[in-house]
Amino acid sequence: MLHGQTLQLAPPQVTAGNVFFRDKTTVSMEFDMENATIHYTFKDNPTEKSSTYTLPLDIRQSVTLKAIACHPDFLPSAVVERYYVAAKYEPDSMILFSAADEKYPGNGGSSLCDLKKGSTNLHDGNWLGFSGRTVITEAFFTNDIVCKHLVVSTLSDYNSWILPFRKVVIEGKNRCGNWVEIGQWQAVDSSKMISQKAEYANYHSIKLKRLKTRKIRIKIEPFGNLPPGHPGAGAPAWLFLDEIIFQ
Amino acid sequence: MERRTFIKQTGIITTGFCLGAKPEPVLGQGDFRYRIDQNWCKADTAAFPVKNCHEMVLDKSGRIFMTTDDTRNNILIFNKDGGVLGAWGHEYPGAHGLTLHDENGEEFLYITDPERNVVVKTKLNGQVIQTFDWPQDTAEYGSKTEFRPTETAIAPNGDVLVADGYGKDYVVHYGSKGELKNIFGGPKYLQNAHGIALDTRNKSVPAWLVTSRADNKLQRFSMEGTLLETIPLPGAYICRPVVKGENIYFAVLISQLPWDSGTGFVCILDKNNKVVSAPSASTPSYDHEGLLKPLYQTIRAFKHPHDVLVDGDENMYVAQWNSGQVYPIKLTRV
Repeated sequence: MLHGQTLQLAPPQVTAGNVFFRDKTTVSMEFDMENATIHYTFKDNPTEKSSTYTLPLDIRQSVTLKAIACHPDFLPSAVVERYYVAAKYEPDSMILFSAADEKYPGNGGSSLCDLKKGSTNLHDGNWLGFSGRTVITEAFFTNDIVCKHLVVSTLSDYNSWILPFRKVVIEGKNRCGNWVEIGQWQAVDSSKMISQKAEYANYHSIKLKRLKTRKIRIKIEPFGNLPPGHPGAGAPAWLFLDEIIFQ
Repeated sequence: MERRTFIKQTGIITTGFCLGAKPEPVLGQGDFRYRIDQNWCKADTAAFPVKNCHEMVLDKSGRIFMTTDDTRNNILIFNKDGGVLGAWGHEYPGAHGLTLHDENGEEFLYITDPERNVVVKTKLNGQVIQTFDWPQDTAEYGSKTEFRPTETAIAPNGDVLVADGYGKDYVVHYGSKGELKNIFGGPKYLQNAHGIALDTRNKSVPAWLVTSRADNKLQRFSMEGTLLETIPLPGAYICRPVVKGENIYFAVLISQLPWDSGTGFVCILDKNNKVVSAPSASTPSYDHEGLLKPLYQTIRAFKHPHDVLVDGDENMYVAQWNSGQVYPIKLTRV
């Protein structure tokens, strides 16, 4: 028979009011076992010496929360990691120029700026699903903004034929009325984009050049065809998006 | 004498504790607590390989039969000490559901194979007796490949009910000779109709218990297929119901998506269909409205439990899917 010290704990349960937020979000953690403790950090991996969770945490900026469960009779759990994304600017509207698939329409462009995180249920109304097409969307702001970072939230689930995007190009409209490129991200090694483990919180933060603007256009290119070895090899991978955050 | 009464009276409970050592963990809550033995099975992996271990049954000789989708030996037979007594079966690439039924003193197995789109009735030595094919000429099914059965249950009159958990989520009701009698359930009531069992705990109202695994529910249907009751089990992706005495036992594949999250556990319901124990998971509790607080894994004793077998001493054996080709684990009741 196994002794307790060779059994590992499962990670603590972590819940937040909102993953995407404007001013503040509150994070609660739970682990139902007598004499167990939860330890957390916002930087390095936590240990038993890290801060002990006692009360809900108020989060006011983008952070990565890392937590473990500990108990004297068991091995500490693996680290659970949660990323909370603060939005500085909220568009008045977002227009989607590429129609989402009818099975995953979300709520059109407004799904991308409603600060609602998509769940593991792809039909929850928060996900937009696209098959084999570049996504083009434009965000409109009443007042000038200077956006320093753009965060694109997607998901990756290899077994469900869903892969992250391959390239993002961001443009802003300048005072002359011309679109100018203010940011770009491209995958260097596409093989590293593929993971067998599903990831429903897949965020890419892209640094932007300074531009005072009221309109931002984002072009998101999908991964492309599913790679050799995949049951659907040669068919286009799906691209799923649930939010674009302007920081 | 009933096992648990004997132990109470003698006052002997081995804890495995010796001076200076930490006590072995006890999993579960309330009256259903267990010690775990992950090395119960003594099989030689080269001689008796497994891929996924799916389901298990106990024959009247005390032998444990188990399905695995490894076609080198789709059926493995164990004794209660974990030794391998035998193996057979090369023609079941998707060997999944396993039910044992005593028919006038002779025992038969019902094996579902969703890859072959068929249910096969065999003797205990593997000799094929009968097959149950896809329900042709019905409104619900247009082709053989839509029928991907995961489980069977046998009615008192010998009728065979098939849960099409990997196909269209219907329960297909055949007569003992294979004639189609009824189809019920379906996507309106079932999301991943993974398992089915006959429930005769209330002898005046027998029912079919069908798991709706993807939405964490247990559905009770009348013998004719009318929905009687929905039992929500949030946080529990339940595989198939195993009725033993007054209780229902479940292997819980996962407690949260994705499907390979490794967050599984087992749980036991009482005669009122309330969760009373969840070994390696959080303590079951109900709020003032009678809603179960979502369960979650607390100890990684399992990855993806797929079935439990309960023996005469109320010990459990847990077979697992997608868990590193592991053999079943034993939980000894304390």
